[in-house]
Parts: sequence; structure tokens; C-alpha cells
Amino acid sequence: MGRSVELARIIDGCKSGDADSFAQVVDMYAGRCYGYFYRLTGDRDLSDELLSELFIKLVEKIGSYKGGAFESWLFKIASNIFHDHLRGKQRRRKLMDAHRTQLEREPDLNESRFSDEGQIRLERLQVHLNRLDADTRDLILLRFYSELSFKEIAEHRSEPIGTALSKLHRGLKKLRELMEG
Amino acid sequence: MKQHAHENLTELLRRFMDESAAQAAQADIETAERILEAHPAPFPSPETLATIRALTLAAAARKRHRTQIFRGAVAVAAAVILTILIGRQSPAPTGGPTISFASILPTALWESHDIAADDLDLVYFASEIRHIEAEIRALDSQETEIRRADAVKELEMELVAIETEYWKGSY
Repeated sequence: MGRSVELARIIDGCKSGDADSFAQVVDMYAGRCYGYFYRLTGDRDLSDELLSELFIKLVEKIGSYKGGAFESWLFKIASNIFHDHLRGKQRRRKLMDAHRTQLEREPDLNESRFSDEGQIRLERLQVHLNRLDADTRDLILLRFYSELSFKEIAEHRSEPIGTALSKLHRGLKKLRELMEG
Repeated sequence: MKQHAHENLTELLRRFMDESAAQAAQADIETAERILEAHPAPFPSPETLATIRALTLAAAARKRHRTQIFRGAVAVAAAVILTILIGRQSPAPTGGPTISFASILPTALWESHDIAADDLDLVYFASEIRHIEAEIRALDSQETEIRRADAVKELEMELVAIETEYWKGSY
């Protein structure tokens, strides 16, 4: 309860253009949003760029936030930014090249750039996430990082809740098999 | 496990499948989510966070500046329109001395050969109009960052706010 009151106060601050309130929102959500972008793209520089775009858009659009779950509103913008990014032809080519390079490097996980076990495990998850189709990957990551309910996710994706649930189940099952295989 | 807006996953799965299938699906989902939790994504670097904070501050300042300019310009435009409307509704002179109308004009204007340049109010209004044009061009040039629909919506919201404030007497 206290957290939601505090969040409401911060959002009111953002709406009135208070600089500290925007900085607080960045501190609160940058980690989760960055994780979402990073897992979708596998590219730190690109994730930095998308994260910056997200928070600039937040400043521009905060007036249109009319209440409800702030995370839901924020991650919808994040998801739209990622899809806008994918639609850009040049960027898309760059992203696919990056993915291709990453997949080509997959068998070589023991090379020197992975300095410790944790980093290797991190990249292994990224490789397996990239093996899922883009829509399923987006669904899994949106669910995991936004912590939205299935109802909210289904609404955002304009599909029935049963469809979202079924796609997520299949995707997570496949990811589990890949990771455990 | 994450809370996901406090939803009851078991109950949700049972709406779409039988008991045993729902249990298996829940186990699949929870196991895979534990794998994701065990592999946290990297965090943005402190430099990235500092850059983003600076960018948001700059964006907020730009937005405030735009809003102030726009509100000022619309208030001026509203005042001009109001003055014109009031002027049109005033009764036409009925044989009164012409000198009474002329006397309310400053001598400099009365004797001017280029009112557009000599009337300071007109000069001011023309400058405000140029300012608005520049703002609109700036909005157009930012089209890649801000969707036009958003900009128009924002302008509309600003207009409503200004109108409200104007009739409250803030301007």
C-alpha cells in the first residue's frame, strides 16, 4: 500500500515536470526495463539506446497516463519501442546480423571473453532464447520482466487470454528443454 | 516466484485445461521461470543511468519550455480574437464626431504610412505568430522521435488547459 502511494506521488511529480520525480522513476524501473530489452536483443549498446528512448518517451507521454498499473503502462511503451525498432529496416538488418554472429559463435562458449561461469550461463540462456520465435520470446520476456498478469498481457497483445497462456506454456516448456538438454 | 499482479495461475490454468494438464503446465511454467530467475540479465551501467537521467531532465525542460511558449502564444491569439469580436459587436457610429475615434489612436499610428511596422502590438503579434510557426516546424522535425498523433493530442490538451485558465482569468 505504502509503495503504491509513494509511486502515485512520484507520478504526480512527473506530471508536473519535477526533475527529481523523473530521476526516481529511472532508478525504480531502469533495471527491469533494461533486462527486458537486453533479453530481447542480446546487445548491450542497443539496450542502452532503447532504454534511453523509453524514458524520453515517458517524459513526453506521462500526461496521457490516466491511472491503473504503472508497470503495465510503462511496459506497453517498452514493447512498442522494441517493435518500432524491429520495423526499422536498417536497424532490423543490424539486429539480425548481430544475432547471426551470436548463433555462429554458440559452440565456442569457452572462449576467453567469458571470464567466469556466471557469464557463460548468462549467454547460454541468451542463445536459447534466440532459438524461440520472436513472438514467443517477446511474450515470455514481457511476462517475466513486467510482472503483468495474463489478463493484462492478453489485452496488450490483443489476443484471447487462453491463446497467450498456451503460447507462453509452449515457449517456456521449450526453453526449459533447451536449457536442461 | 514473481507475483504477476497477484494472479492465481493454478485457477487460471484450470479454466482452460483439465486438472492433470493444468498441474503439468504449471510445473513447466514455474520451472522455466525459475531458470530465468537464476540467469538475471545484466544491469545498465552507472554511466548509462547517468546519461538517461540527464536526457530525461533535458526532455522535461524542453517540454516545459514548449508548453510555456504555446500557452503564451495561444493566450495572445485568444485576446486578439476576443478584441476583434468585441469590436464587431459594438454599435456602428451614428453621426458622432469622427475625431472621438481618431483620438484614441496614438499620434504615431495616426500619422504612420506603415502601420504593420509602427504598431508595436502588431509587431508583437506578428512575432508571436512567427514563434508558433517555428514551434510547429520543430515538432515536424522531431517526427521520428514523437509521433505526430501524440504531438497533436498534446497540443489539443494544452489548448484545453489554456482555454480553461484563460476563462478563469489567469491571463
